[in-house]
Parts: sequence; structure tokens; C-alpha cells
Amino acid sequence: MHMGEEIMNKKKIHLYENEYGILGHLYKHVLMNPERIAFTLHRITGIGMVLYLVLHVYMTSLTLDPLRWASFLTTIENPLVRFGEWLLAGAVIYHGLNGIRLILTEALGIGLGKPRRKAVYPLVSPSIRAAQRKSLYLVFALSLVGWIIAGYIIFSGG
Amino acid sequence: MFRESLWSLIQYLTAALLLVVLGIHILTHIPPFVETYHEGLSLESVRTNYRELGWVLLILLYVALFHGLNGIRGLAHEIIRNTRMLTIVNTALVLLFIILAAYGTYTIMKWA
Repeated sequence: MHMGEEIMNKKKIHLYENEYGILGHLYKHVLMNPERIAFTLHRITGIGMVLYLVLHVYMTSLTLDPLRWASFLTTIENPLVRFGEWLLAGAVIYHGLNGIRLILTEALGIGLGKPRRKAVYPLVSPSIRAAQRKSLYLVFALSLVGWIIAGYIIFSGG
Repeated sequence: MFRESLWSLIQYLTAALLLVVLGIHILTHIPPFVETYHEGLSLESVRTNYRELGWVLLILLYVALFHGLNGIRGLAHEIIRNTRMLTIVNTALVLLFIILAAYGTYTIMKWA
């Protein structure tokens, strides 16, 4: 038996992504994969911000008419709108911070780790243990802190 | 038109530029640059922004529209396999960029 196969059998390494079922897949390959969470969040926040941008261009045009702007300001006093602003703030903070991480890792190749010459089982990409993973946790943490501060500014009656 | 690698490079460059101009835009709307968050939305405050930081807002408008719509284009290229459908989506995005950029420019220049 090949040494790699022997080790895989001993450690019960599973070869098929779908052998755990849908919930198992979500747990093992989505929840336990911070890069995938970061990617998905980046996509969702990006789409959300593009939709908001279209709305924002229209909303700011209301300043051309003082009466419509006054009516708009009354509308945004609604708690639901403030909640929406808070969600938007979270999206902007996360997308921006994760964007910095992506510029560093994807565009400049910083924090990816050095490639290994020999395969070592279990096969774990060097980038998983490199600085980019730590910077990813930092992005999650800073986003949360930023989101809390944004919530204070938005909801504190300011 | 461009290679996808060039689109990616432009996307990174616009992201870096956005960090600066969007940062300025947000800072001008929160304390201590304004008394309160909602005071920063008063008509006078918004118009002052257009007058004093009009050029930042114009750069923000064009760069944010480009970055956002190019992001949607990248997403569309990943999920749509039909070439004709992709052309329709690309054309719609270019039109949306032109319309929103023109509309936003009109608003900003009115008070600048």
C-alpha cells in the first residue's frame, strides 16, 4: 500500500465532499472555512452596496428641492431605516477591511506563505497556516468593533 | 475588450482609491467633523459638502460606480455561460454607469 494511502486510512481522511450530507458539508466546508465565509460575505456586502449606491444617487438628488429633502429627512427618522443604515455601515466596514486584505494577498501576494517542495500528509496548503489567515481573523474582529461603533453613532440619537 | 487580468488590476486600483475618497466622504458625515450624525444630513451641511468637496464627491461617484458595476460584471461572468446574455448584461451595466454618473454629476455640479 502507498504510504500516503496508509496515512489517509489511519487518519480516516474522507475523500468526497458530499459524504457528510448537506448539513455536514455546510459545517465542514463552509462554517469551518473562514476564507469561504469571507468570500461569501464580500460578495453579499458588495451586491448590497451597489444596490444602495443606485438609491444613494437618487436620494442625494433630492437636495435640489428643499421640500422633498425635508420630507426625506423625516422618512429616515424611521427606526427601520436607521437599522438599514446600520446594516449598510457594517457592509461598508467589512467590505473595506476585507478589501485591504485582498489587495495585500491577491494583488501583492503578501502573507501567503512559501510553497513546499514535498507533499506532507494531511495535505494542507501553506497559505492556510500563513499570515493571511491571521489577517482574516483580524478583519472579522475589526469589522465587529467598527460595526458596534457605527451602531452607537447611528442609534445614539446623534 | 480587456483581458480579465487587466480588469482585476483596475478593480484593485479603484478599491485602493475608494478607501481614500469614501473614507473622506464618511468622515465628513460623522462626529467630530459634524455635531451629530443626523446634523450632517441637514440641507445646509450637504450643500456645503458639494461646494467644498465637490471634486472628491465626483471622483467617489465615478470610482464607486465603476468598482461596483465591474464587480457585478465579474459576478455575471462567473454565473452566465451564454455569450449573448453576457453581452446584454455588459451593455446594461455600461448604460447604468452612464445614466447614474450623469445624474450624480448634475446633482453635485448644481451646488459646486
